[in-house]
This record gives sequence, structure tokens and C-alpha cells, in this order.
Amino acid sequence: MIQSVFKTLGLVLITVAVGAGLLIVLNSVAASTSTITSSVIVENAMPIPSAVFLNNASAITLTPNATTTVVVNFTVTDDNGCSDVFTNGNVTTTVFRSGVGSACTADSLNCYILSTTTHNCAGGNSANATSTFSIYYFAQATDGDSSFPSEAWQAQVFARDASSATGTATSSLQELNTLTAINVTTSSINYGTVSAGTDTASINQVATSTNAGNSSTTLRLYAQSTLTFGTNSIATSSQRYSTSTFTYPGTSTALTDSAVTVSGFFLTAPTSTNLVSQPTFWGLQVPGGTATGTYSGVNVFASLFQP
Amino acid sequence: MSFKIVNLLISVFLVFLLLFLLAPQTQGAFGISPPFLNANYLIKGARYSQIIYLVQDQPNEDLKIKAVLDISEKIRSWIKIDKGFEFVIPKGTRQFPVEVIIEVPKDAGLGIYRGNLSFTGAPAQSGQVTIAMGVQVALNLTVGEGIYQKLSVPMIRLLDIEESWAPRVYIKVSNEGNVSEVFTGATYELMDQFGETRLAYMQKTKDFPEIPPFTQGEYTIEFPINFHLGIGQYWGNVVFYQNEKAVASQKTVFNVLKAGSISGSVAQFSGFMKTNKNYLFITLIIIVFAIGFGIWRKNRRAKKASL
Repeated sequence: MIQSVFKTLGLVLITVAVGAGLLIVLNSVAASTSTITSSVIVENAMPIPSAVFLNNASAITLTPNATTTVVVNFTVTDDNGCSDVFTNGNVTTTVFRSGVGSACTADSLNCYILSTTTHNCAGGNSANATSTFSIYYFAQATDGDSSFPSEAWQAQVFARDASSATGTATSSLQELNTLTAINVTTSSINYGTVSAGTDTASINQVATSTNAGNSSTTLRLYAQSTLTFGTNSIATSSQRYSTSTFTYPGTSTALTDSAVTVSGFFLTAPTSTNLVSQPTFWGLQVPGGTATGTYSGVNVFASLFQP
Repeated sequence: MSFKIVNLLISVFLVFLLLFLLAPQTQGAFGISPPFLNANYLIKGARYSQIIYLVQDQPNEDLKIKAVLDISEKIRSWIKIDKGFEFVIPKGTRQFPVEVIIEVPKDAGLGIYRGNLSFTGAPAQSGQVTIAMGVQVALNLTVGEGIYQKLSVPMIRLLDIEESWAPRVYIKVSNEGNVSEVFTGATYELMDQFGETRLAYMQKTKDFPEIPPFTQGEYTIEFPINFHLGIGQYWGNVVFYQNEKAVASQKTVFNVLKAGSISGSVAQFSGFMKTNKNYLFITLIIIVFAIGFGIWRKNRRAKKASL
């Protein structure tokens, strides 16, 4: 029995000793463990604009006397995230006639620059964006018979990120078409009351034409319908016009039923919103025996492109 | 405020109102863009068309338009207008497209032909002599025998696709020459979202659309791959060739979206059916056999029971 007690005691002591030894070893291992920290420097990636399209890759047609909306669509990719450009950086879009180059100075004739875009950056590396331009009616044409037939218009996108890294991309070339247009400052010519057998003498009605396009133009005039009251009419040739005031008939030109180019009339292409205009002066003779009444007719003012 | 001052202010307001109402009302600018049609490379049997725009800045009313063609009787029948020679520009329309179509007979004589096409508005009567606006297109046609080639690709878009779709490219092509054109090859380099690792390289040497002379076309071209493209963003670099010469290229990002994102659930289902039609056919056969076996067993039991 005593032997068995000693046996048991011995086993217990061995177990305790082993256990204590294990504890000592583990503690020393723990004591020698150190925290390893790791770090990496994420380099800045440059922004990459791509897929730049001017006016949906179509020729540009302008609107007379007004601005025309022309959009530039593009994509910008930045491996640091698109917000690195659209939130913390900036994008500048330039639409220009190829002859002046992308480093042009803003000019309504041939160089438009915008720093504002709409985009869909919402996290991720890429975003699609749009820059919307308002191009004036007098912007320089580049098509066949224009002053710049070997040139075209382009769009360039310049993207800068938060670290000032930059990237550029350019669209394909697009024509900006010639626009020939005029605006007449009155919708009608009113001779007032003229007695039969008399004329308007030195009293002229004025119709001023303004160049509303981006090309030089002359003027062609004719009567679409002569002055008529019921079954009565006044001959088309009774109306006369001139580019200066006159006492009927003076040196004025008789109106005809077919288009005639007005001699001495020429409107150069505008270079700003300042009006380029020229008046035409009108007079009328009412032949004797013409019945009384209110006569009406239609005269056509037609613009004609002058290269 | 004293009664006298109030009276004075009302009087001034009324004077300005009167001046405004009595001021001559403008016609609104009217024009054409471009004002010429130069078809310099026509050949016998050719079909040529050009869009010209009738433009106005104040389209407040419907505007009736009458077109008149002034050209040699010899070629008058060659020229058509898609809208006809009398049409209406709806109010609110600032840029109204008109397609002028020229069809050269196969037995046409060689030569240079000139004329013009005029468009005149017919506004509502206003005053004694209403002013109507007109414009003119100069027509310059040359019928010759030489081959003229001019192909351009103003737009290449890498389209977003769904997972398991082949990469797709949309192109807009302009053939200004007098012979049909076709691409002879195209390559598509597919890369990861960083544009660093090439994932696939596809080549295409046939099945390109033929682009007729004097036309613009829009096409979507697929580049099949033999692995599943998962959801995410990728870079694509596509190049189109004619006789081993690169004529157009585009490198940009595109997205692979979840199935059904573009096509919708119905198309997704039909796509699934098309893709898995073999498995579905086998499954259907098994179901039919199972039903048939079940019916046979039921009948057999019924027969045994009756015996």
C-alpha cells in the first residue's frame, strides 16, 4: 500500500514537473514573440482619358442667331479611383478648329474651353463624363467651300488628378458646316395709304437684313405674290428697292417675279455677336385707275452663300 | 409715396409698353446648312445623298416650305428630295433635315452639271407686304470614271456586355468614295481592369459588313472568346485593318455586367435556353420516359387487379 502511495505521489510529481516545464517554455516563447507591421506605398497612377467623341462623331450644324449645344462624351480611368480626378482633381475639355491647336485661347470663333463636366463617378476606377458646349452661330466652318476646307474641329480632354498627374486624349475630326442665314428686322413692308396715280416719292420703307450665319452672304429678292385685293392687283414692278434711300423711282430696281441678286448688297461673316447688317429701301407706285382697297402680297428675301 | 410720383411711374411704364408693342416685329432668322452639295466623284449608276438642314432660331409656328429645282432638264430626273417638293417644318423645330438624293442612270453621260435648289417659306400673312424667307443650295455634280476611295471611322465604342457574352464593338463608318469598302481584318486585345495583363487576343478576318459607296453605316461586331468573362471592368484595344493597314483603333474600358442587366429577364431566359438547349433536350426526353413508364406500370397493375 505504501508502495502504491509512493508510486502515485511520484506520478503526480512528474506530471507537475512536466507541466511546469511546459509552462516555462510557453511563457518564454510568448515573451520572445514580436509584432510585425507591414506597410506599402501606393504609387499615384496617372489618369487616362479615352473614347472621346465630339458631337456623337457627327458633323456640327449651327442654328442662326443662336448658340447650338454640342456635347463631348468621354471616359476617364484612374487606378487610384475615379474620384481622384473628378472630386480631388479636375478635367478641362477644349473644342477647337484643328488649325488653332488644342492649346488655343478661348475664342468664340474657333476655340471653346470648359472646366465643368457631368459624370457618373461613384467609386470604381472609371467614369463616363460629358462636357456641354454652346457654340455660336458665327463659329468658323471647315467644310468644302468654307475658308478652312482642309481643317476640321476636334475635342481634347485634359484630366488632372489630386497628385497633379495628367493625361490627355483627343477625338476624331468632325466638320463644322457652313451656315448661310439672314434675319430681317421686320416681318412686313407697309406702304401706308397711297392714292391711285401717285407714288411714295421720297418716303421709303426700310427692311434691314442681318447676317445670322457664319458665311458671307448676298441677298436675292422677288415677289412670291403681287399686291392683290380681290380680283384687283398692282403689278410686281410697281414695287422698287435700293440699298440707299431714293425718291421714286430714282436709281432703284423694280421687283420681279423671279429671284434677282441685289446689286451692292453684301454681308460679311460676323466675328462676334455684333450685328452685321444692311438695309434695303422700298417704294411703291399705284397706277391710275387702281381700285381702292387694302392690297397685300408676299416678297421673298433669300440669302445666297458667297464663298 | 405721393400721388404725383405714382402717376409719373405709371405714365413711364405705359410709354415703355407702347414703344415695345409698336416696335417692328422681327421675322426670325432662317438659313441653310450647308448651302452647297458638291458630288465630285459620281460614276454611272451611283446613288449619292446628302443631308442639308433648314434652320431657324424662332420656330414659333408650323412653316410651309416649297422647293424649286433649277437645273438642266437633262438631269432633272436624277434629283429627289426625301420630303418631296412641298412639306411643313413643324413648329418648335430649329434644325430640320432634308435628304437630297441623286441617282445617276447607268447610261448617264460624263460631265459637270450645275444648278441650284431653293427652299422658300410661306408664312402667315402679316401687313401689306409679308416678308417670306428663302435659302438656296448650290448643286455641283461631276460624273466621271475614276475610282475614288475615302473611308473613315469616326466612332469606335467598346460596348458594355453581360457575363458570358462575347466582347462587342460598335462602329460608325463613313464611305465618301464611289466604290464599296470592307474591312479585311480586325484584332481585339482584352486586358484586365488595370490594362496590365493580357487575358485574350482575338483576330477576325471575315464576316465584316460591306459599306456601300457614298453612305454612312453603324455596325456592331462581336469578337468571340472561348472562356467565360466574369463581372468586372476590362480594357480593350481594338484595331480595324484594310489590306494590312490599320485604319482605325480604340483603346478604352468596358464593363461586364450581371446577366440580364442589358438584355432583360426574357432575353436572359431565351439566351439560357439557346446556350443549354442540348441539356434541356435530354432532360425533356428523360421526363417523357419517366411519365411513360409510370403510366405503363399503372396500367399493368390495373390489369392484374382485374384478373
